[in-house]
Amino acid sequence: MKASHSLIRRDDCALLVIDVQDYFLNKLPEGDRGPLVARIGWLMRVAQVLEIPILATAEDIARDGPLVPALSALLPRGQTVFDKRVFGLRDQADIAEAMHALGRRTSVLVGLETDVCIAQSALSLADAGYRAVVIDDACGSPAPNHAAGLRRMRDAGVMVTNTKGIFYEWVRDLAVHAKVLGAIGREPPPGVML
Amino acid sequence: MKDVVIPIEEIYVPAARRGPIDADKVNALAESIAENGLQSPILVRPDKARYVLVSGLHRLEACKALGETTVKVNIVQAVKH
Repeated sequence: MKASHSLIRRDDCALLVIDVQDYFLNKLPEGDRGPLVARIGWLMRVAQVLEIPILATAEDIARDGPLVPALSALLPRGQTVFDKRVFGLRDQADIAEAMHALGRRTSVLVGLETDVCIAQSALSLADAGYRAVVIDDACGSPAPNHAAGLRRMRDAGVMVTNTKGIFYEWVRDLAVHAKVLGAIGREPPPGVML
Repeated sequence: MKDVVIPIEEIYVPAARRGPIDADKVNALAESIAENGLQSPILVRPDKARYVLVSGLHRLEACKALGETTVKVNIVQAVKH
């Protein structure tokens, strides 16, 4: 695994969108849900402009429901949303196979819940030699669990950054910055000031 | 989640993924699939009017050996390396 203090390279990244389902969102304060989904969706649109592959999961879809439509609509048509039956996604063979096939060694994690599926996924990815990067304002879990999950990951050496931070590390220069915002619009998502 | 099933004839296997094929592994997989169904979908990516195999050559060959015309898949994004 690369040293965790070096800059993130977009051509080594995959964006993992984990369990953004109403079942989990509904545990959050009502006013937090829409902005969180909007930040995740914004990162998905940025990723697509930058040709960063996206892999999405949803936990026990039959019981907990699908990936929220606002985000499934952003996936390329027909792309699989993996039905996750484990908390740490590396423990499920079809997801691990897909991640390996993408060939990207930096996993950028967004979604829910910070202290369970995000934390277990990030830690198991790090164990498997991936560089795990968690976006703190694009993850959620009811307080105080969000903060506890971030502490758990940071203590274990997982990089924690934010939506604005990963955006600028992906972009790196003004030409790419203009290209991305030209494609998706200049309006940042709620809670983000570029 | 509803399984995604596509016709095998729509799956292109690129030269880099064509071999070598382990016949014993294909036979063992075919027996397992005949008995229990395909437990782990093969991995493909879309490419215009067809799909390209990403992972699962032996599972695909086992399905063909069983005379299947369709196969369960997971679809991932094409990646530029």
